[in-house]
Amino acid sequence: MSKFWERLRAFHGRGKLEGEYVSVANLSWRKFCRNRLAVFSLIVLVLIAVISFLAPLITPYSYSEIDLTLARQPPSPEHILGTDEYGRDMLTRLIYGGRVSMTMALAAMLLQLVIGVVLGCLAGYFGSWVDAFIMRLTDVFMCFPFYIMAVCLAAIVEPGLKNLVLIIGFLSWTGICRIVRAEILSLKENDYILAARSLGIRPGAIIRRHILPNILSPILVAATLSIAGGIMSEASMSFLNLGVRTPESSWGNMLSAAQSMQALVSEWWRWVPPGLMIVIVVLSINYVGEGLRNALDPRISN
Amino acid sequence: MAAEPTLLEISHVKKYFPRKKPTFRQSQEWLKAVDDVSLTIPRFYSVGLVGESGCGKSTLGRTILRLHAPTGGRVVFEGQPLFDMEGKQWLPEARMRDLRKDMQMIFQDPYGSLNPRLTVGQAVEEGVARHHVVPAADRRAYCEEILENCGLEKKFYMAYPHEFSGGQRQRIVIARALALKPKFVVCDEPTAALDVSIQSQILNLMMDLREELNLTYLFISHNLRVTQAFCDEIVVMYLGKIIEQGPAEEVCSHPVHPYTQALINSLPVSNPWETKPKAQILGSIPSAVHIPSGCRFHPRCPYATPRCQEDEPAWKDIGGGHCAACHLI
Amino acid sequence: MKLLEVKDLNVVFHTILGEAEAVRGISFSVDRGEVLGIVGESGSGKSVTSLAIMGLLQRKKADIRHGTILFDGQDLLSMPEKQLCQLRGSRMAMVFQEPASALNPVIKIEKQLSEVYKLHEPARAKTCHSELVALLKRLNIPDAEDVLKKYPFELSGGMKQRVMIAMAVLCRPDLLIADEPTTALDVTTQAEILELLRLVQQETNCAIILITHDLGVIAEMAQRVIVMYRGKILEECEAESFFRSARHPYSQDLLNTRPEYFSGRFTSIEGSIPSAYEKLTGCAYYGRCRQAEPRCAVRTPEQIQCGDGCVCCLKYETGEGCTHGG
Repeated sequence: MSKFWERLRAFHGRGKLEGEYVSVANLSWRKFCRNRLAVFSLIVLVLIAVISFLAPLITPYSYSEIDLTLARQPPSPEHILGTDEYGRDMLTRLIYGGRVSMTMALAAMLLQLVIGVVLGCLAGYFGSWVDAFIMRLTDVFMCFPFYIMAVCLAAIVEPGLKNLVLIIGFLSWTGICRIVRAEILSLKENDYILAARSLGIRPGAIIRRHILPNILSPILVAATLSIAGGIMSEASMSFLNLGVRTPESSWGNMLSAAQSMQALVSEWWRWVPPGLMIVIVVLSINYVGEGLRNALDPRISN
Repeated sequence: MAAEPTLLEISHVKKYFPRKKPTFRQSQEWLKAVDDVSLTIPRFYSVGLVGESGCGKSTLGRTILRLHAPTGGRVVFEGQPLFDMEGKQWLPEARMRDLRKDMQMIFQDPYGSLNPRLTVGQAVEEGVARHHVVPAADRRAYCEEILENCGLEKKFYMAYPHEFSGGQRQRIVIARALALKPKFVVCDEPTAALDVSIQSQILNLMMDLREELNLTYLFISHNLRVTQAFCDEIVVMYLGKIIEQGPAEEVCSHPVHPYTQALINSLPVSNPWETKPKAQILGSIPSAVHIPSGCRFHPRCPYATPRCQEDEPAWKDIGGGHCAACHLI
Repeated sequence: MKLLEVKDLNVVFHTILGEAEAVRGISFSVDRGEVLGIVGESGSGKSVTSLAIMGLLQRKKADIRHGTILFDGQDLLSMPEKQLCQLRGSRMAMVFQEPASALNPVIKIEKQLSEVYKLHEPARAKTCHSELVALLKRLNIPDAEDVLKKYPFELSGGMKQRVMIAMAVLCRPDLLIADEPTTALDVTTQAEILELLRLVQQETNCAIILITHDLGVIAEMAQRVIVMYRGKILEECEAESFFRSARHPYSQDLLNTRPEYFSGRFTSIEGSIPSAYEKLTGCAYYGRCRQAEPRCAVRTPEQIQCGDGCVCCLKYETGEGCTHGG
């Protein structure tokens, strides 16, 4: 080792790390925890998810067994939320319905995430004609009203859980795609992208290592919000009888089953609980999404 | 100094940015950021590029490295043409990426030029892995050594950029560039964002590394005093053109171009009891879209003559490698 | 009576990483018509001090633990916000580092300038056009009429900073705080802005607090210098004696790092400023000081009256070496 290096070491910058070590993840978590509403919403969501996925263990009744002698019973100690028009326990169906609704929304979210992120990256990073083509494609998708397209597609293909996921996924990736593209356009101005290029890094690696991790927070937020959207879409589609088919239960088709005047006026237990669940879950997801956005954005520090 | 072999030859390089075309206008307007610049950089030299912001000095640095697509001209690096727009030669993108090992860049803003999601180690290792500078097994040790040579201890290897001060970040940026063992480094205002006390640490580090690694620097700065101390040669740019060039001491002590004189007179005094001639430069740098006719400096020049408005001054040698473009010489 | 008196000011920020003591008990005063330069690195607390004087610190985040700020005898810290608003812009004004972000991008210059009148002298707001033109002309701004009609993005950085200064001195304040007014500008523009500040000072005879890290700017402008480091004043003295014979080791080191004193190697100060989260014992400059002694690590130096100013270093505890030029 030459003397020169020793001289260099002699003037080391004094470390800043002597204090507490705080990682990015840790900091984000702390910020998230400061947002009480978001934490509360997260707890609610986790609780609902756990109960839904443990459905067969918790529920004493079957969600599909029909017993017409018990039809339309108001809440009682045996059936806490009463029964529906075929005598099935409402609580059981609510719990099973949560499982279906939430799985479906999650799957649809993943699908639109994959399509949206890939196309958004291509458009944002390469620009020029690639960008123009993908953006026109999203314009085309966006200018058709969602429900009209969804109803048409559902009428053509067999309605059902899997097809519903595909329909929602293929029709609603445009939002994420545009967010990703816009984020990349502004991120591309950063010197560290230029630095990566000047190091000779290939475009694929630049997108993977330098761009995607840095736009994680808007993607994450868009994803949570699209779960909420997915639940709503599922409810609407099932309400139109184009989604999940009975005896399979979902919050949407429970609502649609209570569509009669009689049910609306005098059998509140058939439509209030699923409606309330949708409101609670969608609200909670929105609050968690907002909490995440604030926690992951380094510009917001409380 | 004996003539060293040429490392980088820049001839007639131009970089124009298109301006957004107004809807009902026919002609396309161009922002001429770099307008016909020729410069030869000998091996092991430090060339300082000075000028006001907006004069095209950063654009020139990036165009040489092909981080901007050039509009015209030719750049030859070690006999290998990177581009020759007139001769329609263009080094393929993949070859260029390999060649970047030898030509590196140090950025102005140490906050913007480090990816906040990569640890220090990852940032430095990335380029080393890309160009196989050392075998994969030795990579970590090699990068640790480079960082240590740049004044950062081993324990920082797994830390993220936001945990560092500006000066430390700039050390990381320098380490990242020099880990590739480049031959040529473009330094784009490497100390402009740093405090005075840190600035000299970084400049000393860069001087030591130049000695040790036989580097050639293109040092872009608006600070004439730092450039004078750091560089062998100074090139003064104004509105996309070189207007004066020569050995650093010579240019700073005997500036011949009125613009260089004004730059030097604008520097604040070192001590309150000193006096200096009042800077005689009028207004601010015009936009590079509508470049004045003749000598581009004439609207601001205190000595301008009618001739300056019409003829573009020729490049004149004053002796000792000191050249300038002005009618008054 | 002094124009501004800051006594034992202490500002703490509550952040997610813990408490940051940005200003740790500083006292200084400004006379009428005086130019006071405050020098320090980033993180030394100089900007926080100026924001505290202007009452612009966010009350939720920043906590002024103790201290008083007297402006013309009135206590600014206990003043209600409404009264403070009256004072800001009319009797004390501020110029920021980034002129681009300090001007509203969607409002024409003229309207932004007359806004100041509207707030402080509503009677004149309607008829102020000719006054504004005259003011800009007095400040050597070419094409004053033209500039008034423009939006901020149509002006160069130097011109924006000139407009900011014009806005600040519109109501002839007694105190102008300039926070790094030339850091974002070129040398040529910097020379012009400093010239302008000098002109403003002569015209209105206002006091200027000039905050900068550039000693050249201090040499050009200031009559008195305060050196800040990690929330404390290390030295305060007349500008001339500061440049001739600074007493605090930090001041001496700062003066030596100027690139014009280059001789083969740049003189540097090793290490970096301790972070505001670190709890300090002893002298804040201890880790980087070349003249440090073991006792500096444990004992916090007090401010000592010394010559024409004061210094905060154990070396001068006995009063020795206080005379200048010795």
